[in-house]
Amino acid sequence: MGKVQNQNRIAALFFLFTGLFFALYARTVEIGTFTEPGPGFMPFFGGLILAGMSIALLFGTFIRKMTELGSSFFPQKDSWKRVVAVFLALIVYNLVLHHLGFTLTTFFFIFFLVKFIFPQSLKRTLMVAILSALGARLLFISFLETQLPKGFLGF
Amino acid sequence: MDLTNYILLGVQTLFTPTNILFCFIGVVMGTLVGVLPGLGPTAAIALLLPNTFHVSPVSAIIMLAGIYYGAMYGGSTTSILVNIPGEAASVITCLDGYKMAQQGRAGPALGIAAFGSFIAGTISVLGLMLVAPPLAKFALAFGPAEYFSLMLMGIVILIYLAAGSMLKALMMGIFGLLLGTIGMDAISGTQRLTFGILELCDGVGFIPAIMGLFGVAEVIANVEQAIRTDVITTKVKNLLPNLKDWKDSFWPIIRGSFLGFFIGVLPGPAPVISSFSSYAIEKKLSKTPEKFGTGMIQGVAGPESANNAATGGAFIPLFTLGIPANSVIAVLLGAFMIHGIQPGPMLISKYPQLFWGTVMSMYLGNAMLLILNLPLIGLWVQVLKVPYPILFPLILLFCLVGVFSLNFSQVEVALMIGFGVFGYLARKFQFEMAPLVLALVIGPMMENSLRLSLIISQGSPWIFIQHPISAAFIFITLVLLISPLVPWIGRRRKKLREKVEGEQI
Amino acid sequence: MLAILSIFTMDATALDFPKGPINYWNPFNPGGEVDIAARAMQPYLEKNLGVPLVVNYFPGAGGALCWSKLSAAKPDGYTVGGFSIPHIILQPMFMKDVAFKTDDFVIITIVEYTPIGLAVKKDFKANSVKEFIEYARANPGKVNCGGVGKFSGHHFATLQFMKLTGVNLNYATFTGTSQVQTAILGGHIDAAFTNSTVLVTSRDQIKVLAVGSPERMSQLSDVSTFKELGMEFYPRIARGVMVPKAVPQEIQARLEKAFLDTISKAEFKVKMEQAGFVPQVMGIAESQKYLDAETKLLNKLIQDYNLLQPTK
Repeated sequence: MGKVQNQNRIAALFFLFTGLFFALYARTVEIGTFTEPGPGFMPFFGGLILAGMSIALLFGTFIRKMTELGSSFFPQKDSWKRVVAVFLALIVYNLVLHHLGFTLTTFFFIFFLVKFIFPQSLKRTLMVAILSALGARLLFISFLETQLPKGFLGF
Repeated sequence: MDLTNYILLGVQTLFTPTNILFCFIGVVMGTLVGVLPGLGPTAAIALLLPNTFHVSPVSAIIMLAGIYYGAMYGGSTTSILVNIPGEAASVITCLDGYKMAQQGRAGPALGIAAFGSFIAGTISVLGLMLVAPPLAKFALAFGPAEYFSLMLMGIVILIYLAAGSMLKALMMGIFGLLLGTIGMDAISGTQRLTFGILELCDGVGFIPAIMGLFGVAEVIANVEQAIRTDVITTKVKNLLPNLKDWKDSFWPIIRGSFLGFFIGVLPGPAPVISSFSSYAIEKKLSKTPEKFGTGMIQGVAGPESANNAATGGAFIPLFTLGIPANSVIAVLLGAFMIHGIQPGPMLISKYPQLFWGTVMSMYLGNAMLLILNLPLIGLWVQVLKVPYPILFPLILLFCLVGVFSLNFSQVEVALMIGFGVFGYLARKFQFEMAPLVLALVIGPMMENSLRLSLIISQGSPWIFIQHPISAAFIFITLVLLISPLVPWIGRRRKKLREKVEGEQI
Repeated sequence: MLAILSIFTMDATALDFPKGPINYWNPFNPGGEVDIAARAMQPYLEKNLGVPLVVNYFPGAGGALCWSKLSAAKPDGYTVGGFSIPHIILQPMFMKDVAFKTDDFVIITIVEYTPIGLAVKKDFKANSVKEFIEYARANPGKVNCGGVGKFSGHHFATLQFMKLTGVNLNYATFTGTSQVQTAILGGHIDAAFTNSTVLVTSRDQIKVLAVGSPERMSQLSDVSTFKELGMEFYPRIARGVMVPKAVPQEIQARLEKAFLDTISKAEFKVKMEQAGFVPQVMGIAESQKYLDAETKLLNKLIQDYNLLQPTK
């Protein structure tokens, strides 16, 4: 079974689900008529069209014969660890920003990513993290006067 | 007073130390915010606005205008270098610009973008000078019906942008339209899919979407590869476009400039529409359309010129009618009023030095930007040489700050991360991002125009045909939809003919 | 003895504020009407209060985002917010998930309002309000009237007008004032209830039939008011500054004094008029009275038109 076919199938199912979701949701707000569309008009017909196209895509995977050899989803064995780690770092940044304040959060964020994704030496990591945090602070807070949060430590 | 007198007046007004300084500050600040993804010209203008109170209105407007078109210059830089559009109008530049950068041609890409923008900016200022009032009338002819047809045509054009499977691109587009329905519906006042989150009331912002789909997703896709030797191939051959590049880009630049200028007069997301329309036109006119998306310089030259020309065009409704074409110009309008200048049709005749001074400053500003940006190309290319393990956290940081600084909303950052996940998966499944983003931007406006038109016509759908401009767009849309089928029909007929002939023999 | 002591302590509190910069939260985008008023006041306020005034922008949800934040802000007087009436009255009623109520705040001052007026496109058949009403009566539901937003000042102005005159207009919802402006200039809609600022800017390209101020506006001296035509109809959007309700009385009073001193200056008034606003000088008590009166009026309209039902 070809990799591309599989991909398209999964994608088709996702979009099918999404399209139906929007269409069903649209029924809770008024759809209206063609001459007086309501708030549900676009979601309803858009959702149906999307669902229809996903079915077409799904069909296509059965009709055409693609014999691309399947390879694993991730190029390297432990790629997924890096991917997940980066996403987690982003999520944590968002959550922690208000508590630790911009400068500190940025420092930890950069430190974590530099040290643990493609590991660099500790010295280098510290240098980059400190410079980035301070540099970002200078640029955004001092120069551009963006209102970025101060943490409980007051900076 | 005739034209030369006006020009002299403008030059006189412009060439004072204060005004030149303000022009310079404006374009530098503009470039800076344009380069920083997320931060937009509105933020810069709001920041510098108080500083303008103590100076004359002319100086203030010169600076603020400089920020606006400076930001357009800067926006293309990140698109080309790291595949992160500075704003919606730069999304198209990512398509071929980034590919060029990956082939070691970041320099020529940036160079053509800079030159194209300069030429386009100059043409649009010329246009502003010469045809402002009649063009303003043209802009007024666009009502809800015309906007709907224009946007509809835009959505169909999107399909043409697809480098890969058209069906998949169309699906992303429809998905973008659906996402665009999230938020409070303007016409009925009902909340759609906001799940009680107030921040979603204005819809899914396109900045979080762009940052997520292009920024975060790109970084994560790169991070997946175990060893990144270089994001960009080591030898950056030339820093400037060569003769062939110029030859290839000449007509795209000219076409893009005129296209962008005319579309720019229309209030609304003009730079976005002009940039991808230009791309579609270049692709259509090219002898090798299938190569678009792999690093064709026309795909950078045309759209970049178009979106810069559109910014010039956007000043026309401001100066001739006192109507802001977008939220950035709205700030300029407010600045007029704060300085006690009454906007409206009388503005040019009552305050000639303001208008002509600003127009002349645009020439100067464009020239300053070119001079600023060219040497910077060398600098930007150096940025690419930073090892990726260190570069990518910084890119992510800029994305985070960019989104957060918009509305100081954690919800929007979360949205960006969500889009990042989606974008990452979409890449894996070979779906393209551009149609989704563009549909997200155009979709709400299209829907509003549709419903508004029907309200105005009391339910009659014939309004779209009755208005001539709208009818023209609908016609073009139909042609665009049918034309891919025509060669197919032609082939079938040919096959049929051959079959018949074969049987006869 | 006690009296003398209390005077001392009162003085002490009043002198203590403000010690640092004051944040002015703008619920709309830069360059908008709230911003213009704020920027016009800024230099005088800073002089009067002796501290910088920092303008922050928190646009979103038509202002609801800013006001939700404001109602939860620290009530120490260092955070003030701009507002518009009728937005702060209508939004809690009509928008779900809004995290503020109208009485979460105390209005320190109302600094200006923009009367809403009725304008028609240049080649429209009617030249006066009377003719307009006649035309609308003859063509019920066919006259397109534009405004910004549903359940907004413009929408309610249209509804009130329809109720007063008994005509049936077709309200077309736009997403922004500039779109209404473009539409009426281009003749895509017949009429519009819109802000006086638009009327002043485009007065030569549209026909302004009447305006909702109690007296004729100096910038539109040849336009009659609805009052002159016998209608008790004063549609307007009023703007000013408010604080969370829990801010201590003395601080409220100090802020009130600063604002009143600013907006009673002649130069300020002139600047506002030039931009198309009608300047006001209302302190806490007067503003509260105004708010209550508007609330009553709006509630009545809501009842009459049965608007709180889930609508299309």
